[in-house]
Amino acid sequence: MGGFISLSTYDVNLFCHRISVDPVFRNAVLNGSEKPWNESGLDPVEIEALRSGDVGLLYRRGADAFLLHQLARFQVEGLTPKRYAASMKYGRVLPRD
Amino acid sequence: MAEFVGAFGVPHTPGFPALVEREGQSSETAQLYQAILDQLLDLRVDVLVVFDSDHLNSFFLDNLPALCIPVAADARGPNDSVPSLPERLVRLQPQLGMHMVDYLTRGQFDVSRSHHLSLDHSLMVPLHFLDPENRFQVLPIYINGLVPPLISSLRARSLGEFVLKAIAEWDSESRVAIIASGSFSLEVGGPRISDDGISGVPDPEWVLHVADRLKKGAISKLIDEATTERMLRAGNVGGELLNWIALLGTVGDKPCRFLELQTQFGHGYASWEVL
Repeated sequence: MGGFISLSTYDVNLFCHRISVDPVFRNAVLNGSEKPWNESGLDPVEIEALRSGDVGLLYRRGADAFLLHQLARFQVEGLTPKRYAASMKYGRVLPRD
Repeated sequence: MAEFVGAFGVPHTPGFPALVEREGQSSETAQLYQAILDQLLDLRVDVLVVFDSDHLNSFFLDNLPALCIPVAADARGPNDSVPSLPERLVRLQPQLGMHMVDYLTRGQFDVSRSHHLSLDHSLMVPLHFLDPENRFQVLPIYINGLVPPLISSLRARSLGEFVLKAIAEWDSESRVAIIASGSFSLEVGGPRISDDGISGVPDPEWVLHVADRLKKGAISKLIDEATTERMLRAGNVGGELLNWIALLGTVGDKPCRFLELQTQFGHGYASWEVL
């Protein structure tokens, strides 16, 4: 988080916020429902980055790192801490375990 | 009038309730919180005023206050699903909350208020350890410590000074302790995390430097040094130091009486004698 949060990443931040504080939303995502994704307002690049664990890309586009870490805290789309760190620190997107 | 009886600083690491559940009351973390709790009980505290930074759980970017004070009668937490931290209803102190909003606004602080909110781990972890029996009324004073631009350290100290005056002019017989919640330095989820974890990573050099300033009561030096850039260089939640600096505004330049660090976590436990 190096500066002002970009307006274009608002929906990414909101998605991560809801993962933290909205158990119904979180469980829907973790249970594989497409509804949260379809209703998220995210653009295709953001959805692909979120689903593949490319948090580094989202961070570089202006998403908030603290909010992004919620994805690994709840292992959204199998995002383990190791995969999270690989993308955030080194820009490497590791395959799901 | 209300009486200011003690000042304390504690961390709010969300992993601590589970850690203490695993390791028991003899664990270092449990013992350090217990040392603070013992002092609160000795001081016969009624109200805890807590300088705190929400972690984008209670508040979000749709409407993010730089400063916010709840004026609700109570609030539930945690809202962020923290392991081994049971949900509970926290008794707030709306009379003091409204008095504080009024007093600070008259003092040129543009503070927002909240009549309805939930509470995240940054408040609930300290309460888990310091108020297990729901004994105290609580007034959080939220300072944005995570999303730049942050208020300045100088402004945070001034906030603390005004909070102290507001307590002194509160028409109540309550005994009030003030607490700072948070770390001195921590990166959570950003590029400085470890390779295999998402737990916070501190800047140990900054942690030890801040601790040295607290031990010596060198507040002015700390305020000069704790620029937004320096705090965020110590981690993306490094702005939590503002909670400690606001606390220093209430105790002046006296050294802390007690300071125990957990440098590996980027934080400490501290108390100041004020009576």
